[in-house]
Amino acid sequence: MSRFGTLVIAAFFVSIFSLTPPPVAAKMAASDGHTSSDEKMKMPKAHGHSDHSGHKPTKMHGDHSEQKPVKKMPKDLDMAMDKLSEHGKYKVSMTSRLNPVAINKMHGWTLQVSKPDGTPIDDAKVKIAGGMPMHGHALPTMPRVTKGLGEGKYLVEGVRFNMAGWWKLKITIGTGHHMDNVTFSLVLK
Amino acid sequence: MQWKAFTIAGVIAAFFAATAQPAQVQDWSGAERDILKSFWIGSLPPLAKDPSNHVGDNANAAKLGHKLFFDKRLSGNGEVACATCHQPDKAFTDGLPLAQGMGAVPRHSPTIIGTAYSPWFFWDGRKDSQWSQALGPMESPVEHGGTRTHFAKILVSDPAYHKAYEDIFGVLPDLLDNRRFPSAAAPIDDATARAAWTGMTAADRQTITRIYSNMGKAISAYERLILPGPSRFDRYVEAVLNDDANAQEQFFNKDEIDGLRLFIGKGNCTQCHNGPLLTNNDFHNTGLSSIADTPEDVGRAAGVKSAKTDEFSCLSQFSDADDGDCGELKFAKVTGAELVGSFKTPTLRNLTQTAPYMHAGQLSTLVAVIEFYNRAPTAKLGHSELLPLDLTAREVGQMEKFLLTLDGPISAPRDYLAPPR
Repeated sequence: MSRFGTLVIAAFFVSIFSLTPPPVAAKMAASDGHTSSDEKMKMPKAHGHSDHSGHKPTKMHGDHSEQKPVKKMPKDLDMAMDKLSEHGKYKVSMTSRLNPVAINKMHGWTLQVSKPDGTPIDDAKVKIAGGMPMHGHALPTMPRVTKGLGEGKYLVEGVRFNMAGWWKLKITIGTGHHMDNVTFSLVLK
Repeated sequence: MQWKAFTIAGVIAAFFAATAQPAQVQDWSGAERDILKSFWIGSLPPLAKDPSNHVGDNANAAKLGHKLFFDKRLSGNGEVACATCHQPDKAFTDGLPLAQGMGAVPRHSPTIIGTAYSPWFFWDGRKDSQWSQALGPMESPVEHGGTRTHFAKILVSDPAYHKAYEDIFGVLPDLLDNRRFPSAAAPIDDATARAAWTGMTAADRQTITRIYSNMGKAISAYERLILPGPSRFDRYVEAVLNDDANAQEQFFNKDEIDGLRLFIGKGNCTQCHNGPLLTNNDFHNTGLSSIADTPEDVGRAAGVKSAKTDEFSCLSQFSDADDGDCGELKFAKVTGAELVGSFKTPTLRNLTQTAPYMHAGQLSTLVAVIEFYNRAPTAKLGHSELLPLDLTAREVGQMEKFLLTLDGPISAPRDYLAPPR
């Protein structure tokens, strides 16, 4: 092939690439962008006893009811599903029985409660609340513990998320005189 | 000469490469492709069994249900059937703002297509199964306006129904004794029908209600076969997932693509309109009570209470489900500000045939709907979940063009899209 022909073919390819539109940047706005400033979450009041340890546990109803919806999801959102409760009284973990967690599917979770030293707790009173911090709405269902599974494990039934985005699950745990809570975050696609 | 030929060929090739470069081919990110795939009809799982309806997937029950669905005798005036408000040629809606049966219904007739996937029925979710839903209008004074003894007697006296019923559900009792089985008796508001009902023995009431519930189960077996077919949107998503640029160009133009981008982005639509049916089948307050002349309606706040106590619920004696199958009902949210003025998210498939829109048919065009969400007016009842979207007029138009691509055929046996012969 002649040199000129090669040049023409090269020009041809250059022309293709120069005419190809640049890739469109991913513009996926998080689909949970709206907030409602006066929306209040009402949660069932928790059972359990007041804390005698001097710590004041956070209010038992609604983890967002005293807060306005937040505008953005924190970049360093703590997604751990295994945590110490707010005042360090319990070690708590949550494991979904639907893996991966999907929207619009009723499913259960296994809750594990133990003392900070790892001793399982089987007689905890548990309340489950939650919602979408950026929307100001609560969970669309009323999940609850339906069964103790032994060794500190509890079956939580009745969870169904109905949209993608950032969800919080707030678990309030009471045993004897100790009440504490822990909040887990998960982000659903 | 050879050089010239190459030059000309090169220029021509470059020209065609330039003009053939499809303006419509978009570079969807991996996350966006996942989202598109989640809305694709190919992601719709096979319809799960309805544990509350043991004949839900019985072909004979569907055949019987098809007949019942179109039968106007199943009404107080002989003029109203399920198909009066759910017309196959209007995507199983009626084209009216508010449904019209024996009287004026305060809600818009929703489509039936794909509703077998929903855990909740009616705009307010006052029913938790398709078969239980089917029974609601039949005894509503403004819809079919009938009574369950009247319906049961039709089943017994019509030889075709009689045989079909017995083949599916077993022996039908003799209901000829009008003293035992009055011709119009039901536990409804009408005083005469109610008195006739309470005058029956508990065992006879049970007999009738069992037949009545089986009618609902047969209708549901039919309705479970009314499913959405692939739309142009689904073809486009397939093309995107296959990296087929030509097909992408064939199925979607620039405005439709831009509309789709708005749909999954700035429009916030997918918060509620998600999954292959473009609905989360849940309940939301979108401020529709702000529209003039909207009937005062608390929606889900009342609907969930009805569902909990409904005589045909998943947990009722007429349900075939085990206790463990009734999670939606057992864990339904019964209190909360969000329930007030909330209505079920409708599917967005086949929108061209389901106008007017919203639970009371308040908005007659898609543009009106998009503009409503764009403004996000304050609710008069409860609190709207919406915030204004700040869409331009052009974007509203693009969104509409995208929504129109969600029209598709009904996937159902052809005979089932017309009255039985």
